[in-house]
Amino acid sequence: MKREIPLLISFIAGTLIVISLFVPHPPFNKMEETLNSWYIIVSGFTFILGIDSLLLYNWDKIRRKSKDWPFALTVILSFVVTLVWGIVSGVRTGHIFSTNSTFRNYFYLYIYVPLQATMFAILSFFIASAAYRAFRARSLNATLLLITASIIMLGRVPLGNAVLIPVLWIAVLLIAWVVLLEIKATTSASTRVGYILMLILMVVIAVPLTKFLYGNLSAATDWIMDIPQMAAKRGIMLGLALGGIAVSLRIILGIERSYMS
Amino acid sequence: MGILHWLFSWETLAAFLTLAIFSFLYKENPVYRLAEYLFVGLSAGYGFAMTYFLAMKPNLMDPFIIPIMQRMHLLGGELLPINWWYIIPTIFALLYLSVITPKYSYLIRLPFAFLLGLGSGMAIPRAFQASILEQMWDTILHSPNWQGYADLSKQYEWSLTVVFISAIIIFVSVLAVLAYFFFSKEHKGAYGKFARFGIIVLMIGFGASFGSTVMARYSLLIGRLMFLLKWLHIVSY
Repeated sequence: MKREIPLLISFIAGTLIVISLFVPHPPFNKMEETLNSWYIIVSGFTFILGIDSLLLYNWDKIRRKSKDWPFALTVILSFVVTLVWGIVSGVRTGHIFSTNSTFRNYFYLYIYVPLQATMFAILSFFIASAAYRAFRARSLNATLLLITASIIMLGRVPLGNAVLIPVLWIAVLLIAWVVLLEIKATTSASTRVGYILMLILMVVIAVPLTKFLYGNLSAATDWIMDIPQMAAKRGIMLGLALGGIAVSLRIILGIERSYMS
Repeated sequence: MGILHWLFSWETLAAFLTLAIFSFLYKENPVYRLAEYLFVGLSAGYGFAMTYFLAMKPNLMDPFIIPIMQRMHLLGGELLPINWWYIIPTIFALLYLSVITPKYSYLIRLPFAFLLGLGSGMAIPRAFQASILEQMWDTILHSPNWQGYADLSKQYEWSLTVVFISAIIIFVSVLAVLAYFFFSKEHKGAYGKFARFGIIVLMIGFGASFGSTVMARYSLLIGRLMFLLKWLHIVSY
């Protein structure tokens, strides 16, 4: 029974919500809203498990006087202060983010936002070093990644148009170099001919492409984001959705039971 | 007085926290670690407070807990009606606490089963509608939507030819990406070449997403640097 009851619950809950989404008649039409609300309540309580784990872990560090116990104390104190401040401020003003809430005007703007924004801002330095490793034009794929990212980055800054021509020509030379390496490495004659044709085509279109992009960089950036980027995203999204539906069906039908282990 | 006011202001606290995080760029140090641990605690507290006000208060406290407390004379005000159906999610939610006692810890499976069942049930029609049907509809080259191409042409200020060629590129590219992820057929011959084109599309897509992410991070960095310059009264904006 320890396994059957959870399986029955997930089957009933999953089936009910699917029916309520497809049947617009009482009592199913109101069921979706109610079940959504129940979902929010039960999922909200999972936060307690996470907080319990975080606090116990840090409390244990303090109790054992481990090397970095003052930092563990910082976690607990900052958690308690934020929670009390948030609840008190929210109860007094009606909403945690109302305009006269001290939580919003002091905690959020002067403590939380600087910490969060700076934490993400320093990622720009690490992302630059990651880009150096990922973008080294060692293969055709990496070169494509490099060129697309460069165009997007140039298109997003006001100075982009001014430095476009040298950057684009460096990119063309890089691709030519990579294609030459691929020609040298390949053994198949037909692939070699394909690469040579590609090289000729690239040199032929490089000049009109540069002319076109100069002055139209912003439009080109939008086009890359909306067409090839969207196509890649859409392909991944379709695969993810099909996978998600398959997993959901497995859970509802009780085939997927890993959450009970 | 002016300097003291500046030194003990909220802006100075924000600047100290910003510099504390930036100090990691030199090397790991106690000031950075203090800011890091502070961020963890604050985020947990902030998340908890937000969960209470955005999820628990409107969905559990207002329709169920507060009316019960009113009837127990623990809270005043106009009597609110009790929605007894909410006892079901409350029991499920309280079963999370069974993890405290090893003997009854298996009961935690019940709220997880409820949550996963509901989540799966919600995911099926939504994923089908938003991620499959909508995406397929926007990918297919369909004649009833010629007007749609004209609208796009106006919206992007592209010519109708560019819009139509773009639609063909999207159609072929999505098929190629799907071909790349379809492993039930061996990637050989013409199919293999088509799948190889899928990788090229994916690389262009990843490059564009990466470039966009990099610029978003740099925008945040510029924002923090501008804040520091403003704090030092070097710039005003």
